[in-house]
Amino acid sequence: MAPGPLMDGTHFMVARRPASWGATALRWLLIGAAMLCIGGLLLLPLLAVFIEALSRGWTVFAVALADPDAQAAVRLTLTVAAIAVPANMLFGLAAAWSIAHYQFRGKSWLNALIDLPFAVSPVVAGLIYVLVYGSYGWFGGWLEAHGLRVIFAVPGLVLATMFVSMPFVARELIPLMQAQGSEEEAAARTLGAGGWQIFFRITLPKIRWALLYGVLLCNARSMGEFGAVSVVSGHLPGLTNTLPLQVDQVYNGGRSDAITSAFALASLLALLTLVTLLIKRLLEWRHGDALARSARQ
Amino acid sequence: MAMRWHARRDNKVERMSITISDLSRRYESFNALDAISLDVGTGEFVALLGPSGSGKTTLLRILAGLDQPDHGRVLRDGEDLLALEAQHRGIGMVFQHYALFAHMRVAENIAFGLRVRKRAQRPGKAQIQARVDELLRRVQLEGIGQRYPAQLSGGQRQRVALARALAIEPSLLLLDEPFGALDAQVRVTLRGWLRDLQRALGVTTLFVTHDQEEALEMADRVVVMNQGRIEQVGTPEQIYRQPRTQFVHGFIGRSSRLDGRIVQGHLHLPGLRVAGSLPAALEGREVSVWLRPEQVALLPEGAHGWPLQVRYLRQVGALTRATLFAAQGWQIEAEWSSEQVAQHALREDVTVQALPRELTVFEQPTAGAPHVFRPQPAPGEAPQGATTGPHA
Repeated sequence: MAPGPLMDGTHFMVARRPASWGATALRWLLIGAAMLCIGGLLLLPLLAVFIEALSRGWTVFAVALADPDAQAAVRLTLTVAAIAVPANMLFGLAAAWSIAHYQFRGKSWLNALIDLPFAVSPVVAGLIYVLVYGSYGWFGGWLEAHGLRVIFAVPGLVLATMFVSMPFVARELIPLMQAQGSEEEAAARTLGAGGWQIFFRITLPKIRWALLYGVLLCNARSMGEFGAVSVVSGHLPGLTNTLPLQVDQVYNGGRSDAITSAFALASLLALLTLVTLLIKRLLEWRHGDALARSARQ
Repeated sequence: MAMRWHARRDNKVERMSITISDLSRRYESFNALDAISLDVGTGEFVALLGPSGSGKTTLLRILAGLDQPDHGRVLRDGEDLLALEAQHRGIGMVFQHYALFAHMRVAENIAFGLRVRKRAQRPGKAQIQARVDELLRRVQLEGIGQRYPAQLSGGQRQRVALARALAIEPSLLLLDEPFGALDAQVRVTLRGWLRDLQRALGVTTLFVTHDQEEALEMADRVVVMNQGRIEQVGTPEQIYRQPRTQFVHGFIGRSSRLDGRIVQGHLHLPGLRVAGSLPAALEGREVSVWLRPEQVALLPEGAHGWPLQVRYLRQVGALTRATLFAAQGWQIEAEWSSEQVAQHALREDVTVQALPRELTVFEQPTAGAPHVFRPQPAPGEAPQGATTGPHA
């Protein structure tokens, strides 16, 4: 039988030499292992959260969510995210712009320090804020004298959340902006564009998908953060409990319906994160070409 | 005189001359520009030619406002150009890699400079559209306004970049290695085209290149740069025929260089004593002697010239290039027509009598203008071993 033309991809596929038994086995082993990890470590627990939450019917679920403390926790989580995420977006943009476009002393330090929150344990992150802003911390006395409360209050929660979710936007943008360089911005400048025009018409369109990725990841982390927030929160139900803290408190609270209530709240938290993932997926599906072109070059 | 095609409606034709004086730019360890002074006349097409790192692109970026000099002035018709922000200079720049806006269509790219204007100066939508169409026609890209830059060939992108820069009716057009990223054939075609376009528009143009052929072929005047300094400014012919420095002689065209000394009014090369009219001031000096390959005449057999051995012969189109060796070990390049080579029945390893029609002598270390003289054939002189030149 005559072989097909070499350039024809389909013939390549069909005419592929049968893989040896060992290679086939390895292939299935690796795929199997990956599937097992995703299934066992991710999907199953996630499923468990929703099943447990709804195990005693909708009523218990509804009761758990109707609790004023739970509602306060949801509001607080959204508030903290609403402050921390835009702040980190601005920080990420500024840091990426500086690192990609300017030469300055300490640039490599800045670049390295952005990763610090990934490396430092969230508990430590929380403690440093207590150390600096707490009653016995460096600025604690001054803050108290002026009637300002950071630790065991919302500002502390925002600070701790910002700390742990800081790298996401910057890390998405820096490699992209470095690769893109600043020639297009320079061209726009010679054509008469001002700073804001350059940002909104040239830079932002080039980085929008990476920026969105970063913001979505930053948001997911902001809403889900437990460790750092736990240290600075003080665990005052209805006041300084974010959703993850509320889940933990209810779970350890020892009430008869503790498990179900905790799972009901946890499912809500998981749902918020899943919505984030869904948006990301939806955007990928809608704008797949643009994403492939600009965000993941 | 033909009206410039983009003369403003009020007939205020913007044609500008540029005066650069004493411009310096220092980076951490080296002088990118070292006290550059240059006048560019209205409507002139000037090439900045030099090896990489000679400061040509730095000069262009300073003029565009993308870099700041440490010292010096730039005047545009008497107005201080450096006091203006890049966005207010009205200088069109075509970048080496075009820097087209990848997320915009070709038409949007070209219209950009008009759309970002303040409302009072911004043309209406229809006017912008008309202008874009006109520019697309100008750069021979009708019908591709709706494409994205990624869908264009290199030559097309280059022309879009040019149209985009021209859209703002620039008083000065800067081109940074405009053909650098194109393949050889496209480059040659675009050269003539760009030259014609520039003449038709009459826009003052500064054009950076490291390709001497490009510079000599296209420019009204060529500025040869080296290590942040201007070596020579002149017409392409002056640059080639009367190089003022050794760098220019070596950088432009092909040339050979020999070391010698002036003794008793004669030029002494290793194994050779060359007669000719040499200024007395050079007496006793060490000199560098430069010559062009096409200036090396092939003398008939038996005539007295420089006895040189043909070491390599290479046919390059209609020309034959030869490398000629002296017994003392130095060598020069020569260029002859293929007929001459046939007439003399030249082949490798034969010894010929050759004589340069013209030699350019630079005092060593270089000081002042070079001296050009015509070497005389030296009848009766024993060519080898007869002199006691410094290199013998």
